[in-house]
Amino acid sequence: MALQANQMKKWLLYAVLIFISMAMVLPLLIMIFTALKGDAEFSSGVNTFFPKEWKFTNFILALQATNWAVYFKNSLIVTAITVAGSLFFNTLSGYAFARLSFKGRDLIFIALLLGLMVPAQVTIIPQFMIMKSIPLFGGNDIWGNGGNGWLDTYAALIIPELSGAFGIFFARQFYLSFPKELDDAAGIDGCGVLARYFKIYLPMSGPVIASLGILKTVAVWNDFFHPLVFTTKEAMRTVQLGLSVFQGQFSVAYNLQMAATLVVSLPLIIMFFVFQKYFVQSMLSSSVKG
Amino acid sequence: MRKLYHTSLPYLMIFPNVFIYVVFILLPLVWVCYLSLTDYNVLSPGKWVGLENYTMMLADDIYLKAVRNTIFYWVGTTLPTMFLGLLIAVLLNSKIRGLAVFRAAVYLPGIMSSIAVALTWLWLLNPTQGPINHFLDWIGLPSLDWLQNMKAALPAVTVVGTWMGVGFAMIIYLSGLQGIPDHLYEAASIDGAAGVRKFVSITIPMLKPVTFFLFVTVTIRSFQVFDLVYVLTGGGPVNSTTTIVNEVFKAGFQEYRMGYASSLAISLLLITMLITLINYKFGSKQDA
Amino acid sequence: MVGITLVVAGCGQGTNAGNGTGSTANSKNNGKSGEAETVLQFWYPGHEETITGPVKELIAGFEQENPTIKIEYTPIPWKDYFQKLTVAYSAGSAPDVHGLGFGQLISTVDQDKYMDLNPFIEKSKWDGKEDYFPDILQAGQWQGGQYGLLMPDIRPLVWRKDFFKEAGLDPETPPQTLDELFTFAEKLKKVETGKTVRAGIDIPSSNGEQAFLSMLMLQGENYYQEDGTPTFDSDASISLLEKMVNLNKNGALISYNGLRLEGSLFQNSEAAMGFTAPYALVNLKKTVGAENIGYSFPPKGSAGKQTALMLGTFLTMSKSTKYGDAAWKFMEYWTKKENLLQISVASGYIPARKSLKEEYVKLAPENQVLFGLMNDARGFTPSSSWAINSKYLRNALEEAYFAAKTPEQAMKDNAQKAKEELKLN
Repeated sequence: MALQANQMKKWLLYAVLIFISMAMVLPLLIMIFTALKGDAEFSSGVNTFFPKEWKFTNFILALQATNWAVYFKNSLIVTAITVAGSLFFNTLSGYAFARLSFKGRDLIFIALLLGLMVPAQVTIIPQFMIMKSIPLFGGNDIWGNGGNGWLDTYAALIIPELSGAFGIFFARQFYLSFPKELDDAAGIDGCGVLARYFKIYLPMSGPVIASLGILKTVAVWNDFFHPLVFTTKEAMRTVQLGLSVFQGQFSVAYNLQMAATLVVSLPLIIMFFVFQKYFVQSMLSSSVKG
Repeated sequence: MRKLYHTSLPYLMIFPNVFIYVVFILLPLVWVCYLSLTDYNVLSPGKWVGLENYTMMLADDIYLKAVRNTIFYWVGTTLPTMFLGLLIAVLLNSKIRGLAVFRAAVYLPGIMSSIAVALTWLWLLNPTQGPINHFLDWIGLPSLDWLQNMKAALPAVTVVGTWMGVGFAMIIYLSGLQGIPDHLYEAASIDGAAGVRKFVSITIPMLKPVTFFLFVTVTIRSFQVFDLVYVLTGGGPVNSTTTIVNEVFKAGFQEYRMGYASSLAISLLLITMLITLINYKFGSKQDA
Repeated sequence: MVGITLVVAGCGQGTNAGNGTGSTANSKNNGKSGEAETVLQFWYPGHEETITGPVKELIAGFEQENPTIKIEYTPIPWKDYFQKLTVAYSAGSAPDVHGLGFGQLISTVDQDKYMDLNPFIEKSKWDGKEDYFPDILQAGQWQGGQYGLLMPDIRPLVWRKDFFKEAGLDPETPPQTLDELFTFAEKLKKVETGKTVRAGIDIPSSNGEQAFLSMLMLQGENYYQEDGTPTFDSDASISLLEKMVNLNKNGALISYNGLRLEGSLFQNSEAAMGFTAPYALVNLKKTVGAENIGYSFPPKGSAGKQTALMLGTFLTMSKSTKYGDAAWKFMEYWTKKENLLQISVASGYIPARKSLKEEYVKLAPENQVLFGLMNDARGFTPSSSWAINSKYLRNALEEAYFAAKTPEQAMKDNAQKAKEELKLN
């Protein structure tokens, strides 16, 4: 009897999970089918779920539309450096805010949170001017005049993202949930503050690094607004900017837009699957230790 | 010397973050505060106008409507997002086959850019050919022109926002669940606690920091909703879906009233700050 | 040289193609005369091969003719163009020559950021001064200065001949008067189980000020005056809105957001008539056949007017440029007869020179109508109040459509709010 109830429970769980997954994946299917439709299907006034004609060539057309190789290279460089750098800085700060007591800690923390609350549309013009007047870069003199500063460079896309109130906040909350005994035990062993971070906290940060890494990668890879404003040269543009190509003055090449969006999202989907494994492993290893 | 090292170490650890933050966030923010007191129009430097932008803002019906809509969207997305996120995370925190696939499926909308998501929902909600209306017709319920209806448009946008955010809440809760040491559950099992009781007495308290974190970030995010509204409704019909950031965008980049747009943004900042501070007071009581 | 650029551009190599050619031309020249090189920054909206190809070709030709001038061309997708330009101007790093949207020019011209082209026009005896349609030149004028040369996009009345037949109307006879337009719209609607599946006429309910203006101009009116005073609460404007609201009540309209990404109703075969730029119909032509789409002058309003709505993109020089003469040389080259024809057609505009009629009309049957429209075409009136008046007109239209207010109340209230915001009281 108990076995049967367990079995029932399992099937129910599967049913619920399949239903939820379908609801979440449906739009992706719509994107795929839209990407495969012919041009004519969009202006005929009849819109169907499946394409009437399966145009796999749309993907080739979408990839020929602009300099994707350059855009992908830029996005990869920017995302890789930003994610690696911000993970290190954010976990370090998060640990400090969670486990060390120092003067002005809460005040500084709240001030950092402020940064989350300002929509990008507003600070963009001051930010642009600051980028333009970074001293001694891009032809600027020591007062930040005369050149373009960091505009049209990787620095403009990487440096501001290395901070990130969100990541600090995330790491802090994570470390707060660690049992305090950890510190005490380590303190007796004579571990210093930094050593504690490197020897105890960092090795146990698998889940936080995985989650934050995914979130940050998605955010940086999908960022449209900052690359739009901070770069102009073709050679510095990123994948998200490439997607605008399909929106002309009067019309959108819907099918190509969707095809390109899928290709651009592909690295993220792959990354997520790869991280999943690591995710599960980190869970296992921490439970073994626990 | 050693003492100096010890007192300054925490500051050194947070320095890189704080420095970048000051240059690229705080400085622009102060700048925006200043701009909100001028009539800066993007092209020419502004004149000082004192609090005029703020008095104008408070007398503006559309702004007040935008505040109401934003609060509706905040409540309408935050609570369901967190509830569903927790529910799915608990379901996915078991050891069953195909876990990776389910997790990826739920998180998928979070990977897509919001523009792409909005475009697909435009099709789902299409009044004559969208699957949602087809389904309603099929089960005999009246179909609706969702995004062109003054009563239905904002709830529809809210549903899309929730749908987009659930994956994020799920993944955060999941990492929170994994951070709970197994020995706590084992101890409870020895005490003879059942599933639901374990959940209430161990899981929920242990997830408090994560919940606090989620609440703050989801709140802040929902106050900044823009892309979705911009693509789905443009703020209409009759401003029934316009939000504060949508008004900021309209004033700043369509009407070139950057001074006024700045004052709208500062108001948004003050509202979010207030909510976050209240939350911080409650949330950090048992942390520190 | 032109050949090389074309080949390279054909491979989609981005901006380097134009630059590469430029520097070759340049080094040759430097060898001979040692003249200093001028580099012009040039931004133009549109990132499609169909636009960037011809622009690069034109630049290559220009650089060959003027070896001391190098053009650095930055194509920017339409969607992002105006935001980028706004930020560039705000930070004082505007390009020397650039495309500029209609609304953007007329609403910011009083900020003294754009170069008055008249001195250049006079000095170089530009032949376009006589050859351009007066209405087109006038669109870029403000207080006696010429601040941009418009590449116009003009909105004729377009209709679906197949839908006309379906409704028992003569497919070759579009409505002749504004009243007829409305009666036709009633006949052309298609309602299935209480839902309108095809609108008689394409009028967006949100962001619909352009379609409204198309009809308002037929009554000889506009929605604000040169000094910024809103006039959309006039009797003619209110009665026009009343007629539109009636159409909507009778199910002859479909409400939608005029800025939606899927394109207009007419583009999607969801409306039988509309005021639409023909360039937007390229896809529709392919789907339903060019023979099923008709183009004509707008119907006559009560004042007998047939003024067509004209928007488009200006070619503008930044006032901050250090190389005014070189920039003008480039603009002059751009507007040369054969170049203007090529660039306009590639980017979807109508070549605004009278002398190009024959060549342009040859390209497509509808071009005859389009060219004729330029004799009587109007865009937005230059005034910094454009954005605010448009915002409140949009608001009024929406309030009336969705029956939040009567048309009269909606127009009056919003005109009043516009006046308050513009401090005109």
